[in-house]
Amino acid sequence: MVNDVEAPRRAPRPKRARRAAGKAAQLLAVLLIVSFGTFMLSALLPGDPAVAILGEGHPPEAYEQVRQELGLNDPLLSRYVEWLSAVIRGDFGTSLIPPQSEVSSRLASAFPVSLQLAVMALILALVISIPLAMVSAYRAGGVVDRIVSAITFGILSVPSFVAGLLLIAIAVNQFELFPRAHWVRLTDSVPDNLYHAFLPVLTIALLEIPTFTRLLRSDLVNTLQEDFVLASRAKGMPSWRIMLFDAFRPSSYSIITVVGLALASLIGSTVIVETLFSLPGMGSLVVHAAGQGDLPIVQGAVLVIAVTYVVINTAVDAAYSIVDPRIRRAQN
Amino acid sequence: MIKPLLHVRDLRTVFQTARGAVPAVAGVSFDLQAGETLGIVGESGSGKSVLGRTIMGLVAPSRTTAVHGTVEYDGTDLLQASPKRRRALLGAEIAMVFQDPLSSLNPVKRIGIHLTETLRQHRELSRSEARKRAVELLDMVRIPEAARRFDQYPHELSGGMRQRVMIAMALSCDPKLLIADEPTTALDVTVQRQVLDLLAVLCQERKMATILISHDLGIVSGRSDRVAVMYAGRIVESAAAEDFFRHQHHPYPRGLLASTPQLDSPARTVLTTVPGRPPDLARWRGGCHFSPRCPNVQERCRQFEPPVEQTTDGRTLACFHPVAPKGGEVNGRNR
Repeated sequence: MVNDVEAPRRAPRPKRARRAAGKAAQLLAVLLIVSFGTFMLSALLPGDPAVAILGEGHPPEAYEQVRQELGLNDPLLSRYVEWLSAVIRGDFGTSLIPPQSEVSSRLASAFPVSLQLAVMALILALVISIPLAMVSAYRAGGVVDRIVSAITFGILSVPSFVAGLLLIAIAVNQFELFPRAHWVRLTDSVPDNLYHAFLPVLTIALLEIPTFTRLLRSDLVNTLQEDFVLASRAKGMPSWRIMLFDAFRPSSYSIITVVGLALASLIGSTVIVETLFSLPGMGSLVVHAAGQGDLPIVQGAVLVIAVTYVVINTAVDAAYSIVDPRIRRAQN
Repeated sequence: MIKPLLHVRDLRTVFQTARGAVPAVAGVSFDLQAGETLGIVGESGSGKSVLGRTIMGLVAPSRTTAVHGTVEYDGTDLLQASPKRRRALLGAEIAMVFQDPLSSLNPVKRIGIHLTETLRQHRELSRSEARKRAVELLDMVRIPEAARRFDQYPHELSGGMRQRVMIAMALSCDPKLLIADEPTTALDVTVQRQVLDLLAVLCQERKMATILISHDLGIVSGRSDRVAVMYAGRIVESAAAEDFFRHQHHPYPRGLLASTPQLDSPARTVLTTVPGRPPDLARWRGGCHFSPRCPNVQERCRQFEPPVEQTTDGRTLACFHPVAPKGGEVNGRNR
């Protein structure tokens, strides 16, 4: 008899395809604007790349020659088109400051470090925050709720450099549980990589846990007052089932937004943690390059970070419609 | 005397609020036999919904909520039973239909899941068996294209359809007791009737005891064996439906029935109302709760609260100065 049960009717194909195409066009437009903004950095930032290469006290002929080679005398728009077409081919140019190397290879080595740190830190933060939020919301205002609230407020007030230093002081110096100041690539050895990544990941995660916990807790508390939760209790559902299968999903919209934003911003902004643990990530790459006026690296890194932002935001938008069926209909 | 299926004695639910203690349910007693339908009527704030929820054990005692009294279902005291024992009864033997079918269905869960999760919670069923049974249940509550509805979400259904889903959900494990809390208040009038009739038929087929809670005497009349009228947390009068609609002793239900609009009354007839408002329970200083609005009020009513008493003709009544029947007067009518 199960055969009688037909599949749910899906929206007609062409409509979906058109919507997807529309989304893609939108995404492309945003990326173009972002790339132009990144390119304009070179025009807006103080300092002259030719001066950065030659150093002070250069002969004027050499200066003219370098500007010619770099194409700095061409009109802005043609320089943009040239730069963009190179970037699309994966050529971000070479760094200005020695050791001169391909910007793309520098980015390719730094980006995975930052991405791994950000993703792992967020997963760890969620793994800790979700159960904490659930036990807090289960008896809102109860003892557990108040303890969790006090702890999260405490963590919230500790800056990451303090938390990182404390972790180093305790886990590295005192008990020698973890190594310090060393990074093993994921591709070299997975267990070694995870071992070395743990402390920096924990430091970043600690920063996010209070926000995640408090946000999800308050959304859960609201959802638990809904009639459908009462109806589930009237059906004899155990509390843990109601929490997991009734309350969690409708409470997850704001945390999805916040996790998406955190992921995007963490990729470029973990400088402090990267410095503390000597990690070769995007944050230290950008800060270092910016300090030296190494424009191609800054440009490339900013573009990569900006594109990551846009892509993650698009993913978050898509996630909403997966989580909330009512949005799916609104789009149809 | 047959042992009642549900035996409620002196049930009290008191909420501590910032303004003081509010006894939402203030000493309610009644018995419900298997297969019997009890209609509970009262205006907003009379405590009827809290009563339903307290019986279900959905009003959890806490720092701000106190529950006293006895709710005995088939020999088990629901208020004393362990949470596990109570959960085994809820949904399986005792089920509830709520007022607003949109907010009572989880917006992110497919219709079918609402049914299968109940079935699988209380019955040993495989996924496909549960699905098959769920589609049968949707069919039973006359939802067209049941198999397709199974995979839809609550917002894709009309209000009447949603309430049918709620009913299917409540009846999924063949309960012996159904508490329907204003099951049609959120629905259009035309749909109300369909849903109520469906509910009545299903209850009769299954010999299910039912508590039908409503603010509307018209809904209760013709669908209940007994009628109980609540005011300020107490049952002020209860009687067999036939007796009740023939004559009401308590001035409050009299006033309620007198204010029911009649289709055959002449045009521009001014609708009778019960003057005044329900009392503020947090600020109550004693006396009959209805005394400020009562046409027959005497000095004693303002000082003492009339006890609930059994009358000779099988009613319960809480009134010092009941209205004597004038013989043969019929106020109740079916909608």
